[in-house]
Amino acid sequence: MKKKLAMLGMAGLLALSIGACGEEVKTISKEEGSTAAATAAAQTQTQTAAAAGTAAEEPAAEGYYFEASGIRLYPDMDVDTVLASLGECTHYEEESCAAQGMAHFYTFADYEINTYPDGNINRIYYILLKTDNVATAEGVDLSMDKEKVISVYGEDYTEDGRKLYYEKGGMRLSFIFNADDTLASIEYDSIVLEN
Amino acid sequence: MSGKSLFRIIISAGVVLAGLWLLQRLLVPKYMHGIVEGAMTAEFYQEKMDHDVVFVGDCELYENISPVTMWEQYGISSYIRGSAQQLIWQSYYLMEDTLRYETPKVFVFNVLSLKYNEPQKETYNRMTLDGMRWSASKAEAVRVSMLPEEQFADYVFPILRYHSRWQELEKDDLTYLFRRDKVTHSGYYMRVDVRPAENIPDPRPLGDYAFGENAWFYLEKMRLLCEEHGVRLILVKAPSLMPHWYAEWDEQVAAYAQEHGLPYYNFLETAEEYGLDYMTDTYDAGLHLNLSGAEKLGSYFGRILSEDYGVPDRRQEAAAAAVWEEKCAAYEAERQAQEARLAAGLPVKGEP
Repeated sequence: MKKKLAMLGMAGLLALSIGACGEEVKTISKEEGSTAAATAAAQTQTQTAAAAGTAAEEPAAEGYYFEASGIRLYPDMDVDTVLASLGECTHYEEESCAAQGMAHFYTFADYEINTYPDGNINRIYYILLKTDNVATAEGVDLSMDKEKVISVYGEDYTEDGRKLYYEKGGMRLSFIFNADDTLASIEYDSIVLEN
Repeated sequence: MSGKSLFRIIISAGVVLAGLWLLQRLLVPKYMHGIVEGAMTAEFYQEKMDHDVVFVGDCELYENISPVTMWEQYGISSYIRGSAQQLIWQSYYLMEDTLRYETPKVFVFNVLSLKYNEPQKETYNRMTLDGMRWSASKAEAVRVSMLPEEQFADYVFPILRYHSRWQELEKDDLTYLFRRDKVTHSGYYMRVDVRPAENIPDPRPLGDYAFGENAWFYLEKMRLLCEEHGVRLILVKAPSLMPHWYAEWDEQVAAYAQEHGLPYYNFLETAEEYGLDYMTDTYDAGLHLNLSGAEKLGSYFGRILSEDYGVPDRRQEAAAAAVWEEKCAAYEAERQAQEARLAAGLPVKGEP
């Protein structure tokens, strides 16, 4: 009897090792093209959107936005829903090592959009303003300096090296300065992949 | 308890442990097709001879330089201990691991990974670390690489991490239960296809270009490790166009190299010298070189290693020549196979 119990115990141990609790591992394959980060991003995205009371697929429109060609662009939005309307651009694909995700760069005359993969959706990772032909919705462009930025956006900012940023609605509006405090670039950044 | 009972318990426990071991071998990813990078670290242990040059670093190394070219032209025996997004502390511990088996004359380190100061992704950790043989170096590499949600025990017993793969088992999981095919040529991952580098985005300005303290810490450890073992350390920046290599980063590396008397070669800046053409020598628009580009860089750097650092020509050593003859044959066979697939309109890397 004791021997049978011992054998049953060991068999149970073997069975437990197969069905043990734990985080399910997603096997990454080229065909899937999704990454652990993208999976996490999708989960966070769902949580953020749910908290904002909007559809799970699109970011809540509470953060700062950039308007181009009459369209409001936000970090984490599905870029493919708006790309055709934004006009001419060049395109570059950057595949991560070992096919762990594909980022796309869409370069327009005055700004650039970079994306991250979220399953089959390409979401905006950042929007980078490159020239002073374009401005933020609040009227700040690259011809301005730090003092002007703070006067427009207020004192509730975080400084990190030469970057000064404001967080709102689950995204980040970043201003990167040159050594003389003139603006080098303005970015609308997703923070989903940081969480 | 009688001796007979104890014996039976031991046998029973052995059977269970053997069962678990077999199950683990079945469930761990094999990385033999599709994403093969996870097989690279372990492949080093199949080597049949020592190497005078060992490279450590990420895909910018294992896709950008051909050890076979360096052998054919200069008789240099080399190996690329590369892996996907290999972080600098992982490179350091792979150096330590290498030194358990051999002492090369030169370690070459690709400096891109200085940009990462913290652990990044579990997927890349597993690809780099799972293939390392267990040692104090591996244990420490795992400890410093783990993200907060990872567990050390999952590295010791991979079955804990991969148990759910039973729902995704493929033919490869049985075929490669007890063996692995080579996926590289002395650590080099071959691609013969061409995709020109066009529309490269402008560099994204950063708020802070300083490398982190952790990154510097491990670069210093590398330098001291090499010094302790009488190995020359050479720093390189591979000629990949993306991710962007900022001038501010390059200045920091150059300053460190000068301060410590280390050679540093930025192969982006010297691309014209070795005839690199980003319209024909890359397979993914400038991220990595294809075979043509890797052979150009292998030829260029091989000459430097041979003439400036005295790395010996071992083509007259019978044993070395025999090993490399086999490597060269496999390299040529894959080149031909990939070119045939390309000509047939198939992906160069695919199911056999």
